[in-house]
Amino acid sequence: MGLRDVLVNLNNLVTVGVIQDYAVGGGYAVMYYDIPISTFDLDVLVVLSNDEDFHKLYEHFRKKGAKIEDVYIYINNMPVQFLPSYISPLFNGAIEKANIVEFEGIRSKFVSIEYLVVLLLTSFRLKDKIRIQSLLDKANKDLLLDIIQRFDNAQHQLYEKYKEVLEGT
Amino acid sequence: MPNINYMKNTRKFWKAREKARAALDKKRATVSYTEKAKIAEKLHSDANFLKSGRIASAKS
Repeated sequence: MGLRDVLVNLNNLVTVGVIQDYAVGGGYAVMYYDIPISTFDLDVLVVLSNDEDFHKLYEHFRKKGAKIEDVYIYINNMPVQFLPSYISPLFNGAIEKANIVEFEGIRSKFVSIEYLVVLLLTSFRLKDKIRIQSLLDKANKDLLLDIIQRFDNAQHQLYEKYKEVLEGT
Repeated sequence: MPNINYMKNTRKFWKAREKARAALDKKRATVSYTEKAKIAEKLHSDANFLKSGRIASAKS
């Protein structure tokens, strides 16, 4: 069992109405854009309106007997962290502009390279900086800057971090 | 897209996320070599699956 089964599960969540939409982000999205990395967990941005809906998502898996550890829900043995859209307009934008990708007959949504870079700017761990540097070659810089400017705030300081990455390349 | 009321204070969410990620990284770093080999094998299989992906629809 691997990623394929997890994507089928995510599509099923949309079908049964537990989530409204989703897009894969994080390390697996970096891997999709052909950057070889090591990752363990799957970040999934989900369209949910509020805390109550987020709670229902966990309840859905709890009832199915899924292992839940910390914030992670284990789907087909893979730790999945759901990032609800009501947390940040950035998550919402990333899902809205995500690419629909077809894998061996399975359709899924993956965040675009530009949104992926901005999401990595929010975490900004050492490994995120390395991933950003690899992704920048493939990104549309004008679009990237536009997203940074639209979603920048005092908490994440996206533009400052972006400048720091550019200075390091 | 639905009408979403964004949370005003999200620091708790980001803190929990980072803490959980660090704990998972630490947990994975301390597993046995057999387990590490299994993880590497799964990752390799997932990477090959991802390579089969073709963009069906893109928005800019």
